[in-house]
Amino acid sequence: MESFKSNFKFIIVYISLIFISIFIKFIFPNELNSYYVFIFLAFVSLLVTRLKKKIKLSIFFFIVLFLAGSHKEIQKKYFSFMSVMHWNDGVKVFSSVPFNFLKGNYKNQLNKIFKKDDGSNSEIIEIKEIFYLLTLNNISEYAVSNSLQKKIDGSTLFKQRLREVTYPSKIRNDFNNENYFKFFEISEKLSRNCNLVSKTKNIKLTKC
Amino acid sequence: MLIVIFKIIFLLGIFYILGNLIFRIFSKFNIFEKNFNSVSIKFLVSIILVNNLILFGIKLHYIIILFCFIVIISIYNFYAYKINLRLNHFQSHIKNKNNVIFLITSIVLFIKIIIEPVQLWDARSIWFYSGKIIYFNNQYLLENFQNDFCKSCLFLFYPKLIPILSALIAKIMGFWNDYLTKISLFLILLPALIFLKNEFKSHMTFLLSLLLIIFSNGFYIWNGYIDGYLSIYSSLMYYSLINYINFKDNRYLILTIIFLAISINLKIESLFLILSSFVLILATNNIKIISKCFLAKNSMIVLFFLSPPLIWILMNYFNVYNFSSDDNNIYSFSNYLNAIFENNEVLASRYNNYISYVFDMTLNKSKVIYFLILIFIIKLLDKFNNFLNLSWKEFLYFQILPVTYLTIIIIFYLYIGYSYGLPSMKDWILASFDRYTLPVKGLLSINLILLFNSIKNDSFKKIK
Repeated sequence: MESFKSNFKFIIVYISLIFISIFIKFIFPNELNSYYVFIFLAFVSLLVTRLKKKIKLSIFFFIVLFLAGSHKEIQKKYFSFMSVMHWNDGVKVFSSVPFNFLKGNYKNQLNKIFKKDDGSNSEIIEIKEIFYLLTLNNISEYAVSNSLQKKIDGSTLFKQRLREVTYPSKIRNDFNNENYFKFFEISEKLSRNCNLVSKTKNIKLTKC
Repeated sequence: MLIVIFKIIFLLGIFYILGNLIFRIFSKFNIFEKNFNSVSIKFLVSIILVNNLILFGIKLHYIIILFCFIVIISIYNFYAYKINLRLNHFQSHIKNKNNVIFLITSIVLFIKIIIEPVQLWDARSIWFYSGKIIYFNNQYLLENFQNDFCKSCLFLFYPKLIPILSALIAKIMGFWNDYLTKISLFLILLPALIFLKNEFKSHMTFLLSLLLIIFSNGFYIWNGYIDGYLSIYSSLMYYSLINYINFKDNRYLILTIIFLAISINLKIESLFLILSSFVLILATNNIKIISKCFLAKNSMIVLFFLSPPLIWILMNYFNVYNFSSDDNNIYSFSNYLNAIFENNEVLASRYNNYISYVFDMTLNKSKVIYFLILIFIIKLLDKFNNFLNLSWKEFLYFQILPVTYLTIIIIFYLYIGYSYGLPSMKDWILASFDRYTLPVKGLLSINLILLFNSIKNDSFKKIK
């Protein structure tokens, strides 16, 4: 019973630590050079815990607070797009997982985890629809219209994601006297030798 | 959904059982010793073995058949040895604080890893796309990568541990998606968590090791990049090496080799780790370690776990790499030296020259300097309070490997500038300094933990 109590206390302290770190982040906004505040806190912790004569605890807090201060807030001056010391990100996200679960923020992802890929991870609607039509018709090689090809070549992300998401299906533009599948954008007119097989909101699949 | 959950449990279990089998075989030859972080070793050796088998052409479904055989053997063992799950044993585990922290951390990290799909460039276009190529071709073949990835590029000899594991997971699940395949990351993370839990008996040290070695990598744990994992395993390898040098306990040498094998299988940057470890061994006059790796029982570990990925990387490197591109240096050496010390408009007015830019990014912006400052502050505090059981000599030799690793990164960046031009170097640094310096911070974190571990128990009396 005693050990259960001490464990319970420990869990409370552990969770409180996580919340304190988030709380501190809210108190000290980005404009403030939070690093100096954290260094100050680190030394204060060293002083307080030293008074309690628990050197291990004091060094523990000193290390954690010292490093927590060197997180991305001060980096925002120069590199707003990247975080350099990730300690806070790590702890923040760690503590946000149960919260997001309870709030139902993961509902959408949970539906996708247990299912076969639907191509939506590319976040490009045309790729999702091409992927859908490819799997629906079991197509391994396909051609695309000139307009769609221009769209693909115009964006590295589109080109790369199309290749990755639709793998193992591949684009081929050297079909000769054989039947093949060709994708068109919804607004495009079909080629004379191509017949519509199926269509989605933005993409048409034809057999040529 | 239930079937998928069952398969996830099966997957984790099968890696443990396979590891257990290998562990037993090796224990018979006195190579592994029981009760020495054995759970972590079991996971790691099975992961490396599966990786090596697939790397050298074994098809994915043969691995699944192997798994089925192992399940049958383990069911037989279960009945033969009448293993019973005792409730008391379970309760004693729950009472241990380290187990509680471990359980909470692993569950939360597991959810975090699989709840988001791979989205960032390197993650989806290198690591998990490679996994897709292996999964849909049912095996790893260089030709498939040359057809579907690139004809002749650096990516071809990138290690394939994560792609192989994700392909194997998709094979077991029966389908590919960008969520479940990320369990490959958790499979690599789990042995590290177990190692830390078993190695650091004090819950405070374990908590500190989690914060410094695991959480300091932040989103690099769950975003599909491998750099966070390289940082973790570089740190563990360094920890084992330091312990081997200090205590001459062969078990730590075995751990060093296994962690190094995992690092090599994760990223090509593990070469930096090998070079800096070599410098540490030379600097501390421990050259015998290298010969010990090839002696008797240790050589089996090197043969089965360390050499296959090394051979594979070298084979692919010589098969694929176009050596002629090396001659395209745009500077002569003396011109280059002048250029890096000159002020250049590309860097605007923020830096005096390229050299200060490189140092600022790798030391300051990467936050490595803060780790170094912190380590020295603690040592200086010790000078006044005398709470550490660590001499200055020992303290300084702890810094050799991280500092050498950092120096190699700086030299590497300067080499990029020499080969591809200074603007390319600038872009390369911007895109990578954050990730490349993660292992340095991991290594320095180990130094912090070593400092923390060397705090005397009765130190508060001396502070008075």
